[in-house]
Amino acid sequence: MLVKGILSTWLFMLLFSNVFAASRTIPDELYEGMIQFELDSGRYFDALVLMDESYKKTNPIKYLSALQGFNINQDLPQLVEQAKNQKNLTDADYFSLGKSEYLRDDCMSALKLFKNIQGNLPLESKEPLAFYRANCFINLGSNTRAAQSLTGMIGGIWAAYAYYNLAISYASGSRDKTKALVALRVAESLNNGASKEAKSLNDRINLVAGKLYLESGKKDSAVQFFQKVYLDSESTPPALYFNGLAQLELGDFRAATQAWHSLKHYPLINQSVSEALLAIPFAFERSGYISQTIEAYLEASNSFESELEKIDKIDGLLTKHGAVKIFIDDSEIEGLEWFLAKDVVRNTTRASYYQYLMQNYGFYDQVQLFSELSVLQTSLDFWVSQLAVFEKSLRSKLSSFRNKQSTFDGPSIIREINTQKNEIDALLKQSGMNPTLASNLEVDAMKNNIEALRQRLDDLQQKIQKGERRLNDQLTEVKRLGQDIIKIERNLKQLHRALGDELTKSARLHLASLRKKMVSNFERSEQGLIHIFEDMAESKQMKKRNLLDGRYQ
Amino acid sequence: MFLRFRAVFIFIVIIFFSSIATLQAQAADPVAIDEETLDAAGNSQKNSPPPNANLSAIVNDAEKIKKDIIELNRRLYQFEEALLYPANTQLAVFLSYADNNAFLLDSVELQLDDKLVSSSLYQEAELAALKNGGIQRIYLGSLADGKHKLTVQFNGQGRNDSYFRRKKALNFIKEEQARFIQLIVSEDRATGEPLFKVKQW
Repeated sequence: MLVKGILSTWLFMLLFSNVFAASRTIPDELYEGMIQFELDSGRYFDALVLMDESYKKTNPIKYLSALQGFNINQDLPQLVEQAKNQKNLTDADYFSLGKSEYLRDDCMSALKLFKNIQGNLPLESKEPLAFYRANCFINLGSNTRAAQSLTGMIGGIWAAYAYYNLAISYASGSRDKTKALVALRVAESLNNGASKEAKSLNDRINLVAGKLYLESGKKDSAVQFFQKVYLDSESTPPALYFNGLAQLELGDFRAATQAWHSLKHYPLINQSVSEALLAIPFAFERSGYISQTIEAYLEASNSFESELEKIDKIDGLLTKHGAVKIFIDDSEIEGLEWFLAKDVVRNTTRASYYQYLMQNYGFYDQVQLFSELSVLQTSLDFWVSQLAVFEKSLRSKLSSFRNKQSTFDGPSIIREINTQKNEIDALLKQSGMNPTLASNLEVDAMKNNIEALRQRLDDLQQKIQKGERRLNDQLTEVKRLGQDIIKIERNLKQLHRALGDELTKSARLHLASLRKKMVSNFERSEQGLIHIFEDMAESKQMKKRNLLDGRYQ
Repeated sequence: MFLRFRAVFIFIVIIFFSSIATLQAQAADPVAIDEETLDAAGNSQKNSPPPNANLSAIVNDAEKIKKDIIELNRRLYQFEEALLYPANTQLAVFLSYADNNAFLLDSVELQLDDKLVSSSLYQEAELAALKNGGIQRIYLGSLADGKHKLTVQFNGQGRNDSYFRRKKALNFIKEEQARFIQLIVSEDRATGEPLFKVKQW
């Protein structure tokens, strides 16, 4: 019983023997594999938390990839320079460094680094390499070099995107659209995936190809491409609008207006939808349907006017509640259910305005930063609750330890052990005791156990002396960590607020630009109406004049 | 004076007619798409606002805070590990993939002494990370010294889309130091069936 008590106390003490061990006990292979797993899964924050100083020094390229992945860019130039000067860089290292430079918009440096790749790159990195090189050449103004760097691409989404980008570059840089169309054809043939991304790219390829054919006057070919665009894609509104345009030029008034009418299901803030609303009366007018023209212009004017009211209302909401509550948080504001609803359909007012704002890179980056800060806030909240649990548990252990310490009677245990030892010694000295009997009674084993007990008791007494101090140290550490959290949390909240204000400013700025466009659309429809009425007045005047003019009688 | 008035009148008339001509031109060409709004891909590319000094300061502060929080998290994890899973009682279980393995892991369930202690579901990014040499820690806990049983159930798809469910049990003795067990998913080259190896560190 006594031995059991001693051992359990000893086990309890052992639990705290390594509390402040900072050096890692995990084998290097497992530790590095864990970091690799987090990096490749895109969990850069977790990867960075795992990386200790020695890992960062020996793996600067992985460290800088993780930093860049979590958008910590201040130290990148210095880290890239350090990494470049490392000896024995592999092809994979040059690829990572080049990619990092490409992502920092330094194409010259990226291309120089890519040039060091000897051909030992894993297969899955070869396609991205060709993509980055081609994009760099396009950015630097050399479509020819870009095309050369793409030769030999096997297929897949990287290859398809690379050729798509090349096509866009050809289309914007030259009047002759042949090269752009050829590049688009290659992109389509290389894009054989069935993923959502691959389908979306196919839609974009078809839209651009159609538009290029339309610009070249080949309306039949254009229509074929526009009709290939799926109806649930972000390319659908422009494809439908241009399809209508091509149909009208082919003389098919009915098909043109059908395409434009179908756009009424899409949000008006998409400029293709606005253009379609204006194109409908134009088509009616061209076909001589004057009353329908007037109706269509009136409908367009009303739609634009109502959208302008909506824009003003959202602007007012932004001013009152801020962009975070209106667009990001799951808010419940009385009277705003119509806007804050997050239905399964994607064309709710909130969703369409959110999509509109997120198409701007600057706004997108701000929202991304906001969400990163929210992740950090969540991690701090988690630790605040964890530390509260640790503190409670440590205090209870300290109190229990003090109770146990007060009831722990070391000298009496030593006396007990000595008594046991004396009894064994006395047993050995008894007459009739011989080695065989001693062996049968396992006297040596008993003596050894007694010695082991004495040793354990010595260790335990030392640990008891240290125990309270150790628990107090842990409590101090909990307090220190808690204070550090409070300090950082204060700064984080302040930053969150400031970023929220910036988001509001930015959203209002974009809404102002949208409003300007909507006013212009409204004016165009009103001018269309004036034009029709003027024509009507003019034709009446002409008729009257003709009747009065004797020469025509 | 009269001449001056006449000139102003003529100017107003010209402006009036030219504005009507503009209106007519606009009405006659409603389909001219605004190039600034719609690029060749049909994507909206709105005017970016001018660089904002306030925003740059926020971005710089955010980077600093991110670094501070990463460092603080590292300290907190170390403290937690030392407190709850000290080296002498620690048991950690890891999962990795062997090279050239086509097995697509759906989920893993881990039982320790017949009690479910961990389960993981796998998505594309995680499978790619495992195939690329990543090692996932699927369990970290504290365990008393003595005999224990670890049971792992793997669910997933092998070659030819065939579905597999495999169980692997391991009896081990926990001693006074940290125990690291690595489960390696591999594949039988001949049959294409998944194999699960165990490596103890």
